[in-house]
Amino acid sequence: MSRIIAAVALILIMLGLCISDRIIINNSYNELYNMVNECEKTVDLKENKAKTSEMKQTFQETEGLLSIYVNHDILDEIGESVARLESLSGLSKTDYLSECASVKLKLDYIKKDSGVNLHSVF
Amino acid sequence: MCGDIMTVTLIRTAIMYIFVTIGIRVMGKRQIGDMQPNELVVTLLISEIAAIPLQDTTQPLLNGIVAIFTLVIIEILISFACLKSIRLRRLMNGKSIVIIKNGVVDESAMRKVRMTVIDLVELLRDRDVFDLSKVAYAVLEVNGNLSVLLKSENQPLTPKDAEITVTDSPMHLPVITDGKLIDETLGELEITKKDIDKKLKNENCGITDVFLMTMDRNKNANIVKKEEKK
Repeated sequence: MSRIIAAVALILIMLGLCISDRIIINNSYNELYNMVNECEKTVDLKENKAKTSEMKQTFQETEGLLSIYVNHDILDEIGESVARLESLSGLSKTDYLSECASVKLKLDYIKKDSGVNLHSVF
Repeated sequence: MCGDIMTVTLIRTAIMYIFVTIGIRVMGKRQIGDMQPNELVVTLLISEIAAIPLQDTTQPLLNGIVAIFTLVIIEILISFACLKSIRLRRLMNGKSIVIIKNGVVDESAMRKVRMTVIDLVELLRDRDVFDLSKVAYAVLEVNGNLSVLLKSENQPLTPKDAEITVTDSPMHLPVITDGKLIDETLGELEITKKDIDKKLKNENCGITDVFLMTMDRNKNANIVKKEEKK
């Protein structure tokens, strides 16, 4: 009986972890994705730089928590892209937008890979 | 930088060791040779899964831990269900097969379990049986062990066969190990610390001087003292 109780306790812990995984990844995805969108739409150079820096800071703050649930390689790639964005802001708009698209793609990859679907299961 | 990587590996290994140990403890004790097929599968899988985040530090540790605990949960639920359902138990673990019946080897049963004569002879030798003609029954268990019942005329003589009356020998349990008293055993044997002290006094030693002391309900004791330090 004690083993059944232990199994039920473990099930509840696993459920909690799965739910927290969903919540944290969804929240981080939405926050960062919206920030990238705002960066793309911002025309003013100064404002663009500020938003890019803000996005970088937000990513750095959430990176630790995300690394508990997400493969570290993909997080490193996003970090690199965000750093490139910061250096590109105020320079070539084409390259900047291209890098923004890259960041959004990688964020989509995280969301798709961490969700329950055919791609992630198989 | 290298030192950090090593430290990370060290910490991850320690964490994984703790969680794997918890998982194995929750699953329950079995020796490798006594495990049912599904238990063996789970144990092997756990060891493989545990190694992945240790070798690849980019993998989240939580992925491995969740996978391990999921296996443990499935194993516990299936073993509980097997306790309640004979059909499920047969499906998961198979059933024992009689290989030798009334001294006659059942060849069809051997073919069913893909056992050769050499395999049978080896298993019998493992049970200290070197002559097939002495065996009345041999059952191949689901864990691969062979249970053997010798023919009556080949079984070891017992006091009952010789009509000799013997007293039941009570079980000896360790009461002191490596200089420490085991309180739980005292309750099981229904003895007190005073009984132990009395025995130790006869041997001119204290609890801390004892390597191993076993006693039974009748207060018969065996004492092995620690080696004297030179």
